[in-house]
Amino acid sequence: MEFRLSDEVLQFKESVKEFAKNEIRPSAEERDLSGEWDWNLWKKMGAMGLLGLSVPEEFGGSGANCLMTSVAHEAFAEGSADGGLTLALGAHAIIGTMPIALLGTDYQKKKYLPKLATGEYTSGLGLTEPGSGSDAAGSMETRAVKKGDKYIINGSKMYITNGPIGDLFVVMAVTDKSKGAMGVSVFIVEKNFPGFKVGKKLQKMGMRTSQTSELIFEDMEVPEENRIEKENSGFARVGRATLEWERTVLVAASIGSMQLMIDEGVRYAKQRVQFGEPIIRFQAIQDKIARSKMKLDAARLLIYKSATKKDLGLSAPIESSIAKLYATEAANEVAYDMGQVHGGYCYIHEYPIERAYRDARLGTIGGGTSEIMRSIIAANT
Amino acid sequence: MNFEYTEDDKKFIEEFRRFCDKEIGPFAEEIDEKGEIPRSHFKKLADMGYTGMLVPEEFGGTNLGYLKTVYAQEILAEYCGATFFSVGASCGLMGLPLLEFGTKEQIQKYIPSLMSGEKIGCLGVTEPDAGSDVANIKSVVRRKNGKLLLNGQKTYITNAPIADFATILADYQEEDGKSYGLTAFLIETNRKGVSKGKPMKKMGLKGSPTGELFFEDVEVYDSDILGRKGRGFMIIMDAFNRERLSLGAYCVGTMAACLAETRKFSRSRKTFGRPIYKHQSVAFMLADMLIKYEASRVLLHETAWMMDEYSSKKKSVKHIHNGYPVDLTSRTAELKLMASTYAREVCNNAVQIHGGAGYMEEYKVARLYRDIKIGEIGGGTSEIQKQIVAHSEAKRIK
Repeated sequence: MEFRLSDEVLQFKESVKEFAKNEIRPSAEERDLSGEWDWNLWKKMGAMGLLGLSVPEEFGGSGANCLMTSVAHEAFAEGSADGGLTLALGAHAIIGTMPIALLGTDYQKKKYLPKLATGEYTSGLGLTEPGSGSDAAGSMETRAVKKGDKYIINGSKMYITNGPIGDLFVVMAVTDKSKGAMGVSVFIVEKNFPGFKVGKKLQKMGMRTSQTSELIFEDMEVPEENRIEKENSGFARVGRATLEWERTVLVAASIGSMQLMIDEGVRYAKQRVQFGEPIIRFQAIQDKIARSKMKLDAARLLIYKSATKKDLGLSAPIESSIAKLYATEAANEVAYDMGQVHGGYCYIHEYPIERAYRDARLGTIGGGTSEIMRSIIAANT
Repeated sequence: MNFEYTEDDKKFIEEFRRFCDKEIGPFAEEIDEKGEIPRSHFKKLADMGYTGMLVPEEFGGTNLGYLKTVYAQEILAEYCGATFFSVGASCGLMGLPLLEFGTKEQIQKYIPSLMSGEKIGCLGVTEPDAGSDVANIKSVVRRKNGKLLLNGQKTYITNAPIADFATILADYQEEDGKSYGLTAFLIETNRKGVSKGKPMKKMGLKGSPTGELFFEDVEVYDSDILGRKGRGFMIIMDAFNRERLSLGAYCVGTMAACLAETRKFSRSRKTFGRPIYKHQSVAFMLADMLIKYEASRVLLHETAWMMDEYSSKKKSVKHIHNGYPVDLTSRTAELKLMASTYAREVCNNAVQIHGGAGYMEEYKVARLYRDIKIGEIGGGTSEIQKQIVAHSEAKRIK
């Protein structure tokens, strides 16, 4: 065992944090209130190399491994204090892009990855449906029917991050209902395909700086060459390969957010005077700080451990589920405790803790609920 | 970053587990019942190399470092908590500060017999009125008619009833009443004026004897001072980092034992027509147990690695680890806080899943449940650990 991040990773982490702090954070509060999307920021993130970080170099990305990418998302979340934009980044760079990078055909890689890597195309993943969440495969209604060299897709996808702004989506659809999870296939869908529609933008509790909507497919035509992997192998191959990245990199954002919340909480507790002394001198406040810090350190290590295992070329289903569950639940607890330290100010928009508190709530729901994570983990204890 | 065991680690772990499986595990229940550890346990663990893992080669140890030591500690804790504590108090709490701060003569006098398991040592800090508040210690060494005399009392001392040697923390005062502050003294317990109380009856860790030491005009000498006059507090604080690390390992090992026992039980026990692990409420308890174990374990291993990396280096230099300032006192406090909290919860789940059986001493989890409570109390209560971590965070944020 060895617990040192390389200088290269550490330097990159610092530069991403600085970039996010200087370029993203100043407008985060305003964008959170208005729910507006700023393409200018997205372009800057592209120029910084964030949008194609884990795309192989030959396709215009930086070829970063899972650990480096996780650290970058952690740093971006911490510096930006903008959970929503970090989520949009994860939806694009990981779940919208990695299925193609990991399992796409040469044609698909050449056609799409360079555009995704620079941010010319923005992407997302279409898995959840109005009637299908935790039981994603079993309850999936979206159907793809082969017709000549095309598939005709009908159905809809719900809660799709980047839905209103995306150019391309990796979409899962049933190709053989009789086979359950083994009857799902995966397609690359462009927004200009005939029959593709975007539903109205959804108003969310948190992560408001990211754009979310339904995607609707009405006799949507998708060329056969846009199918990833073999027919009916969607869940088994694409799902698994991508979900472990998702449960590692996207969750790394919660580490950055926890670090930010703790730093803000401690800073506030040192300044705030009540009963004649800074509140950090009260043991009730110290208790919250200590428990938060211990959860942050363990969560960070669990994520790095999951990422490191992936980088060794190994599958990490349990490690990534543990990391996802622990880190997102810890982030909610830290948000609650650091919010409590802030008192009334936690309830006011001006303070980053207020946004972070709302943003954290998605963690234990999106990308597989805590309950699904516990089921996966329990099946393997 | 690398979270994998090396091939060498795996071999080491396998070998030590085989040893514990044969020599320690089968006796754990009996030790708990009798309230006594066979002296041969100390010797066997010494022969196995367990006691010498942090001892420099020049003193007969293997100097393998903290990380490898916690691998072994986790396993020993899994098999027998009482043995873990008694051997730890002797070789760890008494032996290791002695190696670090002792003179050549002191090391030669005590270390060989301590580390070989022939003699048993202990560390006397806590007093009836001084636990978390170490500065409140009343034991005193005062010069009177040219003689240095130790008077006072220590309590809740692991190994006190069976100890041959002890490190005692007491205030050092000159004849005129001038105090040098807390000073550590090395003594044999057969010195005139030393007496031992009866072994105390405890909730858990019954096999590891705990008791009082009384000192009545015990003559001590300047050559008994460990380190320097008035530096006792510093020596103990240094020892606390190590103690908290090993308590972390104890808690992680106990969680591993709970998981193993509960896995087995939940597969064999059936209710409503199926093994209970298939019921969601049991499955989720099992998942929570594994998560808490994994979170504590990864924190334990990084902390041990940091101790190897930074504890021997210049303390005046500010070390940075992965972008954050290194504070080993706070890190070990954080580790113990987490591991002991989680381990208590994990033991509770283990008993709950065992149901009525879990309340019976016949099942291992009943003992683990009683034993584990010490994690949140010994080596500084959780409340003290929280203060340490919060102070360190306050210092980090400008």
